[in-house]
Amino acid sequence: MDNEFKTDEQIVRQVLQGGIESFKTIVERYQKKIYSIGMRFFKNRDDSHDFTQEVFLRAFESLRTFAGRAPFPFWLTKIAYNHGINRVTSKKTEPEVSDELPAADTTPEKGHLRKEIRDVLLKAVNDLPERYRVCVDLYFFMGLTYGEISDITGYPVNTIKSNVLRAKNMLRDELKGTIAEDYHEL
Amino acid sequence: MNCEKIQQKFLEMDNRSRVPLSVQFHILHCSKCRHDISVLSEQFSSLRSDTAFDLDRDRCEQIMREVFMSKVRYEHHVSGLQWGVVGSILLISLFAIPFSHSFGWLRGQFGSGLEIPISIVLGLSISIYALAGIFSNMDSLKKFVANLPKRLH
Repeated sequence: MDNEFKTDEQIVRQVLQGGIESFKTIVERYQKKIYSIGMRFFKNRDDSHDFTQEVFLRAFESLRTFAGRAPFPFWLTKIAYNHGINRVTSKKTEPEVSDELPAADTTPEKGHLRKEIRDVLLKAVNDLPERYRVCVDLYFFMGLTYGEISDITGYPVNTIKSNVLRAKNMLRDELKGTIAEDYHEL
Repeated sequence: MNCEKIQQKFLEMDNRSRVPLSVQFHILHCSKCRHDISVLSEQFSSLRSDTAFDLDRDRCEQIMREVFMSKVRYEHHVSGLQWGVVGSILLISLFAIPFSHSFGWLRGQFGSGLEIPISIVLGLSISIYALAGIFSNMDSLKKFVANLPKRLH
């Protein structure tokens, strides 16, 4: 069976049984997400690339601690978030201007739509206090629950919930009458 | 309940949670909410395959190089318990051989001189099995022996 169709948990078991090369599938699946978390912390590409590499190495080295009770993205995000906090604290990194690139998409229509949706969300996220932006990212892009985000970040569930709701409302308002609705009707 | 309240209820939903019954019921007869909620959930799920920032270069090979250089190694490991269980089954089977019908037939054909070579072969097999089990669990065995005095006290 191709690794592409296996769940994260199945791949982790494979790695623990000695199939280290299977870890590549995990890296391929999550490198963008981890890099994104890095960008939230460091606001520059070089540090975010180093961060991504370090997070995956840490995850690999502590793979035995993944018990499978919580979803794998939650476990990985927890490692990434804690590492980000430690790195920021030790380096005292000052936020710089972020550098974003357009996403590569399969079709121009989908690409345009996805970019538009993402831009709306990022606009909503940028209106939030700095420390809560990562919570909204974790909710929308990593698919984590309020409880999981609270567990990782230490912020109260209600605070996370209200920030996510704010972003969702902004997204809904911006979507009204935009390409997304027209596209859906096609 | 009006449409705005229903939509708020939908927006308050957590990831991986079920759509509340009141929302499900409402969208059955309200085409506007059905459309809006469908658009929203489609957009929310599309975000899950996206990221806030785009990766400008693939780091997979570099990360895997680091992983292969890591001091941590994972190997296929059969636990001591598994070795023990299978070993016990083998041992019980060995002791049961003299009472089997086939062994009785063999003894009838070749005489009682057969018992010694068979015992040597089976004894050697079980010793090799036990040694393989011990060596593959050497670390846990060492720990167990080191902690034995504490456990006895």
